Amino acid sequence: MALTDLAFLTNFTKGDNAKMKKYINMFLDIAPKSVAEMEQYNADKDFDRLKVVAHSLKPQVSYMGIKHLETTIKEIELFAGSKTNTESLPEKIDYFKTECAKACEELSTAAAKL
Amino acid sequence: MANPLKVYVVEDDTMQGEMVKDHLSGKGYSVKLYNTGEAFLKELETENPDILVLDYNLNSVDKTAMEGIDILKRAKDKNADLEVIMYSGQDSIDVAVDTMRYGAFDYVVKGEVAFTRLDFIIGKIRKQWELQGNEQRYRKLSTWLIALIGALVGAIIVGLITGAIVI
Repeated sequence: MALTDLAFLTNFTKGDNAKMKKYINMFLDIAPKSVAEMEQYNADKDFDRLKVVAHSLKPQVSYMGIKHLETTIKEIELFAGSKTNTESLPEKIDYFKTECAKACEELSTAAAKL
Repeated sequence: MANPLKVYVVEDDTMQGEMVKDHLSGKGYSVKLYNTGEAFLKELETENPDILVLDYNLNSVDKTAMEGIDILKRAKDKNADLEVIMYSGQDSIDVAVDTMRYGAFDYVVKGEVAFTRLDFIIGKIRKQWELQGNEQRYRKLSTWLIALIGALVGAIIVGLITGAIVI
């Protein structure tokens, strides 16, 4: 089953392959860096910075149609922002990291075909 | 063709900024993208944009960068006519009210529907300008009519006094 859905991006770019490729490549560049930052900030217990990173990543996950990670990234932002349930953050970040890596592989393949 | 509307964007998130810029350019606006509020404020000394789309959280990349709300206050101080649309990932009434208290025209939450919302709000701003323009024209017309009636009444009075007009 597909982990990503490019319907929004197709509609947004009006099917312009070059633009779609540009946005996908931007996400492929940003996502791993953001995940690494989230891990680091969580390890440092810097929940304010963790919230900021999750907050920035949230709409991008949605634009790439990674529906199953939308709730996870929202929870990371919420828990880090409110500094509640912080004990669940390592697991959530880990899940996000694994699933996002899979989604990025799929996006990379999709971009190569454009 | 009339000059296109100048819509400037301040957004420190590269992908988000690029998407807003592409979207607004596609609508025919003259768009400039800044990744810090400070860079925009500097430009505001010589530039005269019509609308600013301003990110609320401007320190996600540069932690020392000024926040959107501070940029909003300074931008409105420099140019009270500049209409500002705040752009944020926070779906919070408190944040929205706060930004509007400092003079933002409206508030857009980032996400898939944000681009349609931006179009709608820019349409509302243009409508407001149109109404303000009409009001100014009506005001000028009524001032002119009052002056004309005053002159006519004056001429009649002078005519009556001097006997040029006989009833």
